[in-house]
Amino acid sequence: MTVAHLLHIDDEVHYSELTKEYLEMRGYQVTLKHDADAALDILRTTPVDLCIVDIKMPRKDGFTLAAEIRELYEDMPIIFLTGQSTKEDKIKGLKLGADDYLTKPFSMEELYLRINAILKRVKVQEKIKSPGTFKLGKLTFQSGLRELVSGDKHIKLTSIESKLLKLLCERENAVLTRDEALKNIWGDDEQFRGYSLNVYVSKIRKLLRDEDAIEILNLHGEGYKLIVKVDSPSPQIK
Amino acid sequence: MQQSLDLTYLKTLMSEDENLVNRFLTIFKTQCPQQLEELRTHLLNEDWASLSTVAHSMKTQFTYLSVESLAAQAIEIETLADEGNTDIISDKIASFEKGCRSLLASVP
Repeated sequence: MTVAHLLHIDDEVHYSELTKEYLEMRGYQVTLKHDADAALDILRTTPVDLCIVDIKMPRKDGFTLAAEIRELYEDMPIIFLTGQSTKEDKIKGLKLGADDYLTKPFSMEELYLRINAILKRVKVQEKIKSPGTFKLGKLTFQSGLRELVSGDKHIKLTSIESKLLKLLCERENAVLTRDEALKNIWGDDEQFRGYSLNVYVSKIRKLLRDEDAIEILNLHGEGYKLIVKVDSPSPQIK
Repeated sequence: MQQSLDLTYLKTLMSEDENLVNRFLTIFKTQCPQQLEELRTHLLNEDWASLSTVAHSMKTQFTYLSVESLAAQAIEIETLADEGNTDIISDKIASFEKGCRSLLASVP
């Protein structure tokens, strides 16, 4: 399972460690940097899912940093943290495309929940942008290319395997009925094809067998269910 | 005026995690005296930007600790420094330091 990577930028050295520790306890990978340029170095070299940016920092403030982040990654989710809470600051932050804005003191739980909400939203947007691409733990399934990708490894699927896996992915954590699968794959629901369907489900299970987070359940008399296990709502976003 | 400490709000913010609350208080006890020292140094050097930054950081700590009177004093010092209104800032810092020392004495 891929853990979402957060970049937290705050010039306050000690207290920001507490935030980092809390978010790590909740299942995130967190990199903490205390100045804007160090944060930009991380962004240039390491994949990051979301930035938490303190506004008032010496040398380069959070607004300037956010603008530079946007130059690197137009869609990077950003949460601003601030000790100030003026309306002007909020408007400035939102104009820079901040996804959220938290005023100190903030509750750790609230920060965690807001991060989750933003990452969920990003995940939905990514699905809209690339409707044929699905994340399955560490694997990426590209239905258009009929490929399962794991790092550098590309596994080619047959047309039927690809259609079946796409149907399961589209109904993630919900039931794919046998009739639905038969109609979508073979264009009819002739029950004699049921055996073939079972065989293809077995093949897909084998392809996914190294993924602990993924399971395909048999629902007797109904169909199948692709289960994507989630420890916390966020960690599978990438 | 004797400052006292109610940790109810801090505990809520820290999700009732005793370890985080204790870590916060430990950082506060170490950092607050250092920051008071920094305020005096910046005052002496008339480095108002740095003085403002320190006051800003201290303000946030007091809001976590629900000590609104000291948070308000920190805001006032930050604002005076930001606006270059430094004639009375020395007195404000002296009064603020007295309050901080009193609070530090009550931190468990």
